[in-house]
Amino acid sequence: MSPTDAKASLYSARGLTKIYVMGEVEVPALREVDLEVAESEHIVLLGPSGSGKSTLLHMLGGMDRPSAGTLAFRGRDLTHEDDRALTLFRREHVGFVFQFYNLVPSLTALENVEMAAEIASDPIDAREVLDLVGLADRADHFPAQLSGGEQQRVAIARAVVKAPDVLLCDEPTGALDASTGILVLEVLQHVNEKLGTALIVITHNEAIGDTADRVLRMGSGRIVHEARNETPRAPSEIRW
Amino acid sequence: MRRTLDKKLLRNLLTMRAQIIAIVLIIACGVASLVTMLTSYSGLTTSRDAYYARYRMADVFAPVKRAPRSVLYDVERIPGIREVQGRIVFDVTIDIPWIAQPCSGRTSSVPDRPGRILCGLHMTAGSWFEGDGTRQVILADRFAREHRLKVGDDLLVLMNNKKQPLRIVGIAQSPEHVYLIRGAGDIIPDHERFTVMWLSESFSESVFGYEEAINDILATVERSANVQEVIASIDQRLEEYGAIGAYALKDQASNRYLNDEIEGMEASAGVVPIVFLGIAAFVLNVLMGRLVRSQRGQVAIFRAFGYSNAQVVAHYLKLALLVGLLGAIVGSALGLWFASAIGALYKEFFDLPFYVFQIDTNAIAGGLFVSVGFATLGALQAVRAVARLDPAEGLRPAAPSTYGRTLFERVRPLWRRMGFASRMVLRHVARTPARAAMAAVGIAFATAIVLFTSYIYDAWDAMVDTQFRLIERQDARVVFHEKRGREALYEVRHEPGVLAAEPELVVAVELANGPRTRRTGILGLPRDTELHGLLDRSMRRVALPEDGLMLSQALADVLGVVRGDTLEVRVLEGERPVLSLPVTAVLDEYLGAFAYADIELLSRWLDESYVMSSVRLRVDPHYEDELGTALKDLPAVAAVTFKDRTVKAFRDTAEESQQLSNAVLLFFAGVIAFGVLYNTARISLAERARELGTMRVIGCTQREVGLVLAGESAVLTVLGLIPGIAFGIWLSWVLSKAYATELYRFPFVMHPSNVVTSVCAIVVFAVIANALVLRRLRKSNVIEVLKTRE
Ligand SMILES: Nc1ncnc2c1ncn2[C@@H]1O[C@H](COP(=O)(O)OP(=O)(O)O)[C@@H](O)[C@H]1O
Ligand SMILES: [Mg+2]
Repeated sequence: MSPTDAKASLYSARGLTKIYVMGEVEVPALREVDLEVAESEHIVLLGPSGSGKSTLLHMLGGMDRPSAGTLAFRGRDLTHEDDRALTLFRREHVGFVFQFYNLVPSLTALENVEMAAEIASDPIDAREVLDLVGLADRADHFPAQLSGGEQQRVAIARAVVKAPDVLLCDEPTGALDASTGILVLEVLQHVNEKLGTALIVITHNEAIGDTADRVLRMGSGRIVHEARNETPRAPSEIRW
Repeated sequence: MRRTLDKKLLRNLLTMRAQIIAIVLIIACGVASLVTMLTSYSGLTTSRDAYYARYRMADVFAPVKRAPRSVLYDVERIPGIREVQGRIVFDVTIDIPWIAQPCSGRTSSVPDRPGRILCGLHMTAGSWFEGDGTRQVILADRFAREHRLKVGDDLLVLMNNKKQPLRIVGIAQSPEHVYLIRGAGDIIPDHERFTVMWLSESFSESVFGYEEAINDILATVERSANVQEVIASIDQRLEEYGAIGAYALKDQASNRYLNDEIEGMEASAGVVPIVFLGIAAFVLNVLMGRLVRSQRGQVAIFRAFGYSNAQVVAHYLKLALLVGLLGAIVGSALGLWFASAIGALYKEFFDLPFYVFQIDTNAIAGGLFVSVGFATLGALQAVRAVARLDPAEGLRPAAPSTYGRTLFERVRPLWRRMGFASRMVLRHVARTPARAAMAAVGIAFATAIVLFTSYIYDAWDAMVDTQFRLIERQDARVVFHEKRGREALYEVRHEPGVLAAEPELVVAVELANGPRTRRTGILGLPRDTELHGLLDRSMRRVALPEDGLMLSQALADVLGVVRGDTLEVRVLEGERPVLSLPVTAVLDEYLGAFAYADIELLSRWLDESYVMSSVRLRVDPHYEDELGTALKDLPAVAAVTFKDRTVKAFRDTAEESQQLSNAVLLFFAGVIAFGVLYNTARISLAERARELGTMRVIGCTQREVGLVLAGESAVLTVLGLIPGIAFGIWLSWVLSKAYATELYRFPFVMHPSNVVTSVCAIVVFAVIANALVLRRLRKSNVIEVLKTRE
C-alpha cells in the first residue's frame, strides 16, 4: 500500500527535540526533527549507532516526552500528556517490537499474546494472530521452549493483537540470522498490508530499506536524508 | 584492581541500603535477644550477690517464741557458725490517716548504735537513732515512697495494744526484703499496706516487754559448713525456747522469689535467644544468598575481566562480613539498651539499692559469631554457585527463564478465569519453590511470634481471672495478729457491709516426700467453703477431704507428688506433730504454691477445736470504706486486703514488665516479616525488571504492574501465615507446659481473635513492605531497561 497525498496524517512532529541531561552533561539525542507519518505507511529508519533512531521511536510510542517541539497523533497533542495518559495511549494505539523479544517467561506464547489482548479495548482473537505469524501450533509453549525467531514472532503477535494503529520495531531482526530475519520481516509486512497498521522499523541493514514505502536516514539527531520507494520489494527478494 | 572492587562494594552497600538495613535489623534482633537475656541474667545475679555480700545477708534464720539473749553465745559455738545476731521481731498495725484500712508492719530490732550487722540496712535518707531510740523508727524506703513519708514525719503505730506515734529518723532498704510479702499465704507485695521497719534494741525491749530477750536469730555460716547440719544443731539448741525450726536462705520467702526469677530467666535465656537467633540466622542466610544471586550479571563481568574465582568470592564475603558485623554491633547495642531498661525494672520490682549492669562479653561474642557466621554462610553458598558460571554466560542475551505449568492449572475452569497477572504470580512462585518456601518460613516465624505475644497477654488474663474470680471468691480478707476462736467470725460478721464470712487458718509446716522438702503454710478452710474455689484440672470444684491434703500444681511439682501419694507433714507450730497424709487432689492453680486442708483438721494439730488466723469476707461494695475504718479500731486485726486492689496491683506489676518484652517481641516479628517481604519484593523487582518493563510498554498501568509484584508477596504471605499460626499455637502450648515457676504458671488459652489479630499484624507489615517497593517501582523508569541489553 503506498501513501498518497490524500492519505490522512497519523503522526505530525514539529521541531521535535530531546536532550538527555546526565549530571552536568547534556546529550542532545534529537535535534528539531520534523516528521509526517501517514496512516498505514511503512517506514524504515536507518542510521549509525547513537544517531537518535531509538529516541525518536520511543517518542512516537509515547514512552518518552520531548524536551522541545510538538508531537501530535491524529491531531491529538502528545507533548504534554502525563504518564497515565501516555500509558493509555500505548495501550490503545501502539505496538512495540524490540531487538530482544522481552516475552514474559512465565507465560506461554498464547498467554503472552492474550496478556496484551486482555487490556486492549478491541483486540483481535489471540489464536488468530498467532496463526497470522505462523505459530498456531506453538501456542502452548513457554518462551524458553521457542527459538529466537519464534520468540520474535510471538512478540510481534503480542504487539499486533490489540489492533494498534502503528507498529514500532527497534531492530527486530538484529539478533536473528538471515532466513529467520526475512521470516520476521514478512510477518511485519503481512500485518501492514492485511490490517493496515502503520509500520516503523529501525534497522542497521540497508537492504531492508527496499521493503519500505519510505526510508529515513538519521545522523546526529537529525533526519539527514529521505527517500521514497515507488515499488517496495518483498523481504524474500532483498539481498541480506 | 582490589581498590576498584572495594569501591564497588561500597557503592553496592549504598544502592542496596534499604535491603541491607532490613537484613541487618533481622540479625540485630536475634543478637539483641541473646544479649538482652544474658546481660539481664548476669546483671540480676550479680546485683543480688553484691547486695547480699555488702549488706551481710544472713545464711540461716531461726525464729523462736522467746529466748534469753544469752542463748546467742551457745549458738555461736555451734560448729560451722560464723556470726550470730539476735533480734526482736513483731507484727504491728500502722494507722495511715489517709487510707481507709489498717496497714500492717513488721518491726525488727537493730542495735541502738550503727555498726556492722547481719541483714544490714542501706540508708536512703536520714540517719540512725538518737540516744536509745525511744519512739523512733527507721522506715522501709518503698513504703515511705508509697505514702510520701519523710524523715521527721510521725507514724502512728499500734504496738502491744498501745497506739503511739513514732518519729521517722531514717529510711532504708534491706537485702532481707527485696520482695516484700506478709507471709506464706501471700503472693503479691502490697506496698501500700504492708511494710517492714526497724526499731532500736532498747526501745523494742521496753515496748514489747522483751528485756534481755529475743525472738529471732540470724546467723552466717562458714563457707565449708553443711547448712543442713548447722540448722539441725540450731533447732536442737533452741527447742526449749519454742523454736519453729530454723531455715536456710534458700527457703527465705523474699530470696526465693528473687531466685525464682533468676532461675526462670536462666531457663528462658537458654531457649528464647536460640529460637530468635536461629530464626534470624536462617533468614539472614536466605537473604544474603538471594542478594548475591541477584548480582549474577556483575559476577560474570568480573570473571570475564579475568578476576579469579577466589577474588570474586572474597569480594562478596567482604559484603557478608560487613553485614554480619553491622548486625552484631546494632544487635549488641539494642540488647544492652533493652537490658538496661530491664535492669531499671528489676531494681524497682525487687527493691534493690543498686543494679550492677554488666556487659556480658560472652553474649556479644556469641552474637558476633552467629551473625557473621550465617551471613558468610549464606553469601558463600550463593557466590560459589554464581562464580562457577562460565563468564560468557552472563554476557550472552539471557535465555528466557524456564517456566512450566503449575499444579493449579489442572483446575481448568479456575485457571481459565484467572488474568495473566495471577498466572504470572503463580507460575513464578511455583518455579522457585525453594525460594518461596524460605520466604514463607520467614513469614511463618513472624506470624508465630506475634501470635505467641498475644498468647502471653491472654495467659496473664486467664491466670488472673482464674485466680481472682474462680479461686479466690472473697472480696476482702481480714488477717489477725494471733489465732482466734469462733468468736472472731461472729465479731467480723457484725461489721458494716459484711455479707458473708468464712474462717481460714494458716499453719506453718514442712512437707516432705522422701528427700524433697518444702517449708510452706497449709491453708485450712471450711469443708463447704463458698469463698474459695478448689478446682481440679478440668476446672471442676472439688471438696476438701476430711483427712488429707490438696496441693496446687506448682507445689506438687516441687515435691514430686501426684494424686494418691502420701506426704509427711511436719507441723512447725504447737506441739509440732509429724503426720502422714494422702494427697487427694492436685489443683489447677496458676499462682503460688499452696496446700489446702480442712480447717478443723488443722486446728486439731494445734490442739484446738477450731481456730482461725484470718477471715474471708464477701462485702457490699458500698460499705468498703466504712468497713475498713471500723476494722482499723479492732486491736486484733493486723491487716485488711481488698481483692480488687490486689488484682490491680498485680496487673500493674505484670503489665509494666510485659509491655517492654511484648514491644520487643512485636518489633522483632515486624522486622522479620518486613525484612523478608521487602527483600523478596526488591529482588523480584530487580530480577523481573524486563518483564515489568514489557508490561508497561504494552500499556499496563503502574497499578497493574504493581499487582504482579504485590501478588507474589501476597501469595508468600498466605503460604507463611498458615504454618505460622500452627507454629505460634504450638509455641504457646510449649510455654504453658514448660514455663512454671513457683510464683506462676501459664494456662493454655487461644482465642480465635488472637489468630485474627496476628494475621492482621503480619498483613500490615506486608503492606508496608510492599508499599515501599511499589513506591520504588513508581519512581524508577522500568521502560528504561528495555532500551538496553540485559
Ligand atoms: N536514557 C538516556 N540517557 C542519556 N542518554 C541517552 C539515553 N538514551 C539515549 N541516549 C543518548 O542519546 C543518543 C541517541 O541514542 P539512541 O536514540 O539510542 O540512538 P540509536 O538508537 O540511533 O543508536 C546517544 O548519544 C545516546 O547515548
Ligand atoms: Mg537504538
